[in-house]
Amino acid sequence: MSVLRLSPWLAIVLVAAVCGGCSERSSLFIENASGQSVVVRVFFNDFGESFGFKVPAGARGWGWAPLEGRVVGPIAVYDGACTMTFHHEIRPDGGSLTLDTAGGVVLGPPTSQPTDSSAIAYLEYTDACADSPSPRR
Amino acid sequence: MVMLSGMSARGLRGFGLHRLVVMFTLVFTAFALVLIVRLRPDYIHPTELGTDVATYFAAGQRLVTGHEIYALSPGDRPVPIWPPFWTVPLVGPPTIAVIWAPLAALLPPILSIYGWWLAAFLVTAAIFVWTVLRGTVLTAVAAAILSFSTIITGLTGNMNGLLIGALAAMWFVSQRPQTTRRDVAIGVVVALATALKFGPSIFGLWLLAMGRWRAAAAAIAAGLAIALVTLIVAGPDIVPTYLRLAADTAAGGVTPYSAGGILQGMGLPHAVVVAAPALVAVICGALAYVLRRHPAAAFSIVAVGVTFALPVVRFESLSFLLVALVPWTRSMHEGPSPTATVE
Repeated sequence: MSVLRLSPWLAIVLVAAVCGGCSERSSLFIENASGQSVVVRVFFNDFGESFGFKVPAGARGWGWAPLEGRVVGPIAVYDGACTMTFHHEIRPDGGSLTLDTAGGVVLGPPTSQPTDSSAIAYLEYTDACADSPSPRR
Repeated sequence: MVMLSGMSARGLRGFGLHRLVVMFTLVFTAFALVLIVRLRPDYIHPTELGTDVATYFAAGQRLVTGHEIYALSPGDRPVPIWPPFWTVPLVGPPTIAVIWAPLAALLPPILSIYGWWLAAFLVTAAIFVWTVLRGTVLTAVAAAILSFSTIITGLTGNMNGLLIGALAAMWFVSQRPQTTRRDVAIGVVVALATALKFGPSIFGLWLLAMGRWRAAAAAIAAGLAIALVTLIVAGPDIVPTYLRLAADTAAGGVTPYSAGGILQGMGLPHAVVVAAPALVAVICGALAYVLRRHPAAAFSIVAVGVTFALPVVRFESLSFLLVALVPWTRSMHEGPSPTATVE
């Protein structure tokens, strides 16, 4: 049997071998108990590229529920005027960001709550504050 | 000492300049590869949120779930934006989302993303090595200059890597005796590359300049077929949406490496900057016609034009210039490489 005929199978085996142990999942859950709407942005490898979520006062929800792919931050929180109020590195597996009633921000490890991910709303994406530079730059 | 220097000079002559440059380029590129992976370990994690391949996957996934391709809805896989350069989660034509829809629907992301990434890396690497081994001293030096951008293109799994491979193959096919099958293959490559990135549409002008009417007709037919499939899968609204976004991108933000960015840097008016891609296409088409008796030169000119024509040209996009080097290498039908015949 020729190598050419075997090549699709070899490719599949190669990809499977490369993928083996590469699975890296992440999630981001955000809870805003403060009285102010905020924007949470996650930067891509510390570049200017970022994606962000609009988090109204009192809202809680997934930025993204557990999915395949790690995240490299940093993560930053902005107020309504796009002034950065918090920034921190984010773990490759994501995290759980909580804004308390006093305005404090805590970034914890990814939450296992809520158990029923479909019961919890996803947060809306926003391009607000997207032209802000990465906090580390 | 004198004997040693005499020996080394004789050794160098015997070794051959081309072979020396080839070895230097390959070793240099290998070191550059190690350096880049050390600096950007994320390149070997293509499933990471925001990578090029993950962006294609996300576009396919949005299409499958019935969400907008050019906007993120709650629950979509995150994709970064970077105003003013790009303000939407997919910059190119919607064809990439159509291609990725079945991959996103049928395969687990780890398999589809890693599979694409590996294929793009291997194709990019193969064309680079081919250009170095089968070219001249000048093509090897040019490839060395392009090594960093090529490595980044390969490691990111960007579709440019696959397009470089397809367009390189198209060149070699175009140099074989003309048959209907070959012309159709050439037309399909031009149509598919255009449907994915739009810039390669300039290769259509190359076909016309070369008088490859059958290939040009095949490109038009294949282009219409791809457009029809895209319209059926993504919906008719996708066309005005994409055209509006493309116009916004052209008007809003050009990167320094693009033709528009270069003209902007020279202080030319905004209207000229916005019109840069069209200007590049016209100039390249005209040059291809002037050089129609020199197919390699005409092909290279068009490849250079394709590289710089788009509004967003990043450093790694310069790897597309590899396509311009391919005509100056020897195909497998042209006998052994210059390395083997230098002595």
